[in-house]
Amino acid sequence: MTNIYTHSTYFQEHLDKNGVSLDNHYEISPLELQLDIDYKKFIKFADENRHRAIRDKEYKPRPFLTDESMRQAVMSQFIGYGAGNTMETNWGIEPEDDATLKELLGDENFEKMNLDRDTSLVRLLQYNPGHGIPLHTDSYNGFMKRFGPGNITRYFVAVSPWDWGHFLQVHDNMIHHWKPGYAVEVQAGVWHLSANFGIAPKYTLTVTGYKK
Amino acid sequence: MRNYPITHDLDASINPRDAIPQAILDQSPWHWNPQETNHQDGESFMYKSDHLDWKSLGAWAIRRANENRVPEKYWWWDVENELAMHAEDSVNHCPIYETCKQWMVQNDYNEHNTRYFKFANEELEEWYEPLRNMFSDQLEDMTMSLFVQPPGQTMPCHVDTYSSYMRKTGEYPNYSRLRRYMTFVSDWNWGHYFHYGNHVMQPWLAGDTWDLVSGIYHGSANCGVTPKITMHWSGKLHD
Repeated sequence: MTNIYTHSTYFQEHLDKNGVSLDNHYEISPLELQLDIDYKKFIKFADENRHRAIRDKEYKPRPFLTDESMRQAVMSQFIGYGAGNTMETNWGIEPEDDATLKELLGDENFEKMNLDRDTSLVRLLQYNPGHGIPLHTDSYNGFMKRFGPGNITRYFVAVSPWDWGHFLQVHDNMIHHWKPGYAVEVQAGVWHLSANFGIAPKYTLTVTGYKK
Repeated sequence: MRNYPITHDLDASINPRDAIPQAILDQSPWHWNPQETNHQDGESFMYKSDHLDWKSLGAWAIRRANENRVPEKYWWWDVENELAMHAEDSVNHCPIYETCKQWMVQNDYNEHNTRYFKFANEELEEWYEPLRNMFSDQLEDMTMSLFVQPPGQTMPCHVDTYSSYMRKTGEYPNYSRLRRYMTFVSDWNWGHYFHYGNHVMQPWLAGDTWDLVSGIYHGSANCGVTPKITMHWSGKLHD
């Protein structure tokens, strides 16, 4: 009988069907950067603008997702992800906040990432202990609806210093012990996840934009 | 779902050391900076065990978990009575209590993100004897537990305080003599995470065995898509 605690979950079957295997190493070293950020300014921004945040957003199927993203969200729910372990708080949906976050990030860092600043979208994410975002790929659906298709990519940028229980997994690479400003390009179609199973909140940025 | 607010403001400066019993700090001094790189936390790896067919044990554990369907163990805070609860048991009298407050009062751990299946001692059925034989020469008053951690669940960061051992023996632990060994029963997979001090174990193979020396802060999580299975032995080192 197949059920949520067997090794052959629907999610694992989906990965197998698409040839996604941890046995195939994915080299990320060419995609890693160290940006120069003042992380305390981002956390100050978060603390001063909690009333503007999208709060308690759980990872779940949403009608505007692509079919593949919807499928991933459904499969995650089916194996136990929900409001109890995927809550996110984020800033940057409002254009004013996006502009402030871009300002905090600075032109030099956009240059390092080789992204067009004007059309990039910056989100500041807070994951509290006990919460994370399960395995998924990015569709850039929201970005494309706003700016149209193109050579789009996304960076993960560490804001708060690494603490116990914080991690990002990009395919078979488990990333931890980062310094503020550590950045890695998570390209379209690459499976990844991130979580905070420690005791201190985890702040990160996603920066989505056109490659120059 | 039952939901309740975190009763304190989130605090990025919580120091886990503040919650560790003085007896452990005295007997097992450790560094308390997560950014510390000058450490030997990764040197507790012992060997890759070929004592057992670990994958068969993993299959047995999954079968047993599927029979139960409801994970037996989880952590939650009884708001009304201010009790730190491990399933149906209060641990207010146990040395893990202050750490529990860091998890469940100062942070958002609860029954929705800390669930796991536990099979202890004779519940291990035909696996009991061969598992016991692995460490019976090293440990006395030994207890054994096999944990199946489903996706989305965590064992929050802690220092082992041997509450189960306390319940079994009725003694306050002598931490200098207590020891815990751990073997990964399943291969590392998506989202499986175990940090031992400042060392993050990854990737691991079924059979990889670690000496979890007392006093070292550690935790584990499964943010993946398949169960994570580990086997633990606890007891007193023979004189």
